Amino acid sequence: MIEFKDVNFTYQNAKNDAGIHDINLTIPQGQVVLLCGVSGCGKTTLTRVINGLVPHFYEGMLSGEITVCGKKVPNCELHELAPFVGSVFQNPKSQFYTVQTDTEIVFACENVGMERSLIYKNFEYAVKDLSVSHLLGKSLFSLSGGEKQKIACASVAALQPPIIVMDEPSSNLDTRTISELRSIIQIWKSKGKTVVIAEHRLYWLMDLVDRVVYMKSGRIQLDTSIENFRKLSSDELHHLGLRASSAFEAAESAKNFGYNGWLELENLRFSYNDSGKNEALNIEHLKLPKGAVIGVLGHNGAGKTTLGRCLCGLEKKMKGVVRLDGQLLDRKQRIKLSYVVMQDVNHQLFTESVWDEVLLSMEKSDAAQEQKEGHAMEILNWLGLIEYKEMHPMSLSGGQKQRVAIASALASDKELLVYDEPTSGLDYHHMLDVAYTVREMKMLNKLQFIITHDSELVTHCCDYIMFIDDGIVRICDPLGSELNKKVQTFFELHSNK
Amino acid sequence: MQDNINSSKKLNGKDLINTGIFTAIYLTLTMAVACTIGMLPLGYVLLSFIVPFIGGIPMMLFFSKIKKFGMLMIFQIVFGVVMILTGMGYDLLIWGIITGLIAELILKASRYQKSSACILAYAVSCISVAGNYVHWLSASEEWITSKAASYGELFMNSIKGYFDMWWVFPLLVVFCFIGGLLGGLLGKAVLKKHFIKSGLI
Amino acid sequence: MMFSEIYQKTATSKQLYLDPRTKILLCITVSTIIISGSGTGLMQYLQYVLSLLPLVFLIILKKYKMAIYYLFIYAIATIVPGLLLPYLPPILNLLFTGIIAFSTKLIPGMMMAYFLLTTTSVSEFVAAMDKMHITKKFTVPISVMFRFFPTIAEEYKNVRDAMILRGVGTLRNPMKMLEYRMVPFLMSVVSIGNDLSASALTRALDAPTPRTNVCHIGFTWRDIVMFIFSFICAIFYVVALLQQEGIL
Repeated sequence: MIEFKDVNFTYQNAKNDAGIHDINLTIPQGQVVLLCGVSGCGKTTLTRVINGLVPHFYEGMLSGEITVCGKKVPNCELHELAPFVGSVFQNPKSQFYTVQTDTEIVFACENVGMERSLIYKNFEYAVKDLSVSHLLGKSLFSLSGGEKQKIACASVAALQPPIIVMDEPSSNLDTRTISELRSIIQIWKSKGKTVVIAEHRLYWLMDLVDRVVYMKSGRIQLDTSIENFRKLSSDELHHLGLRASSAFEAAESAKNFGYNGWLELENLRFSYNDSGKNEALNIEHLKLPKGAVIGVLGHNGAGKTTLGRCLCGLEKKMKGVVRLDGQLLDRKQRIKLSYVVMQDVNHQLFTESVWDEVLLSMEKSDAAQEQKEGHAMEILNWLGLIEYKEMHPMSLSGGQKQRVAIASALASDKELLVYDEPTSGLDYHHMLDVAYTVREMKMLNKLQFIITHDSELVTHCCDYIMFIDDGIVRICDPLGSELNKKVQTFFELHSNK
Repeated sequence: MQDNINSSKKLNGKDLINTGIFTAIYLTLTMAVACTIGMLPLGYVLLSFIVPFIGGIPMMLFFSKIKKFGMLMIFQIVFGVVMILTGMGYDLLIWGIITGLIAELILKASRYQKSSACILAYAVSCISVAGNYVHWLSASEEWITSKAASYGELFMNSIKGYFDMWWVFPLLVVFCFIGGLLGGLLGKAVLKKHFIKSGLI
Repeated sequence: MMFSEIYQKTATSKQLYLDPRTKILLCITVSTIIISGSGTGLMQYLQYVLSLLPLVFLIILKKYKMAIYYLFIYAIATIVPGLLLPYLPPILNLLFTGIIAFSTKLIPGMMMAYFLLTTTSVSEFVAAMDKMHITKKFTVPISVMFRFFPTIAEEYKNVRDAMILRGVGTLRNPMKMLEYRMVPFLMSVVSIGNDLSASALTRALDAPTPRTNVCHIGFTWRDIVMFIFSFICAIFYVVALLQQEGIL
């Protein structure tokens, strides 16, 4: 059981009072709770108080009483809480400590000095419950994001804690893996564990949770049962800043394309090995119109990111021909013409303020300084970043950083833009900002590829859809009634039971 | 009221993990630079300046996280042991421990608050890089004298000049130290511009 | 019982049939003996024998390409300095040619390190360290170090790709290049490190109780053979040293 009494916490280096305030909450054993709210609302902080990372790891001022399984959290060491609270975090690649899947699963058990035969037993239970036996014996570096996340869940489950806390576990996962994640939580629920999930992609949890807690500015605004929550309409949810359903709403019928030029791909092949086996990408022929916004859909590992990288000229081993407006483009020319907004934004932010970051992209342009600055202001306005102009990009939240990366992409004035999961951490309003800016770029006749799992983003700005499966492009057409149906099915969650 | 994990004097999991990460970064950096610049003529000697200089940025970040005794020592010892296992000799370990101790004391004296102490401590710990050269230079001399014998007396006389070059080794130590100072200053500037401004420190 | 490597009890051919501790001992033996002591007399033969050891291991592991590479590098390091010596000025000879000559002494050691790394998994390493009663203060940094090497490579590659796309940080402005390469890289790695710490700590990394290691390691007859071999080498080493000092 989890109990919060008058709990207040502010982070040590807090800006604007970041933290949680006046929290009174009781979660009985066996309940599955969803914590939701816009970015910065405090849901992550709440989970950190439950597993003890606040205050033992994240420093700050904590007051109030927090009791977890009869233990007072501020007085317990983290290792004392570990057998009671398991934590699954957002980023699959930074959660594993060892290098192999098997050793990762038993890591927690080894740390507490569990006896060997018990470790073996717990290992088998965890592997069976979470259906990860096909992942045994592999290096963690070779797994996909979804597979890593499942191993993280197994590693946490191996200690058999009665409470499990999850912080946005579905970020960057595709629908298939989300279904599997859902089954895992279902199993935990059936074993009577308490599961607290902080999320803003709500749809996959609607059938799973018992209770919804909505937070804003660090306070609990709404605390209802799931039945009441389901009664809220899409509009009301959007008003709260939350993502509604996963349903893809069909856009208007396709417009005419093609008068502005075409991008043509011929015999595009790419494989990671030198021998040419295991082709990651194999595209015979593709013709894409300039000025289109192309949604690239597919399951994790299908080859979407690889396609983006090959198009931009980042992969030297790519074979094949790329033509823009009939003109052949070699790798170096493609690098000059294209830009990728990467999935992990930290790699792309180089300067010390948002303003400098946007101007950095314009370094090569010949325009006058005033023109550049005017354009920069415009872009920052579109993306709602004006108030952060002088701040260091790394001090911003994940969603804000993503928007800065998109801003610098737009400022670079390049013809071919590839966005890799641009809205993976964004709440509703910010997702709309991104969709708006993409549509603005369309007017400038740029060719934009959006690799995404976000159905709402596709609804709001894509007019072409490309499905990739195993490196082969199955469908590539403008949105129309038939294609709409296929997209809808793709985004629908399959129940695994 | 809160049991802050950082308030005790003992090294905890977070410190140890940080030490491991920065040891990995420094090792990779050293190997990368050694295998590129170190292969050029005179490049090997220039390493005594370049490695401390470039290493300044990551190491100053590491030093800013050192608030207790021990992290630097562990770093130096692990680095030294890796050098032994990869066949580069045990000199780095010995020099690493000595310079590491001095650096730790410098840091402790400033109560882990002053960044100028960090720069000085870093420069001192860089001197251990010079330790690498001890064996190499003396072995190099030995080899040359042994070969020179087969080239005749004229050559032997020119070799005599080597023994007058006693200044080479102390010069290398000075290079390391100055490289460390400059690298530390560079690191501090970069830290201020980026890491402190963004609140990561 | 399902198949998993955590149930494994003895070293297999993939691990060179040897316990990690034996491999560490061999590394230290080879590199120490070859580096110190001049290459004359008995010492010289000892050093040749030890230089052959990595070659033997390479052949057992069937890494023929690496074996040829090893012979090639060793040959270059032996022959080239002799060719260059008469033609270069003294300072260059001291600081360059002599050093290449010295590298013949390092190459076998490096090869042994290569074995140690490619035939030992991190968990075996940690198990070996725990058995030798090395404190957590060393085992944690060392295992994190190994786990981070691939991450460092990946993050560096990503930053480099981002730089290429944005067309910044070329060699034209070396200071900016250093800044643009280092800063996002460090931020990224530190951020991953922080997340890793949080995750590991919630899984009781800081626990004061002694750790159980599921990874079995143990000595077999092959390890004993290698131990005896090292011991004999050590004896020869001492004898050769004494011989050089003129005592024997």
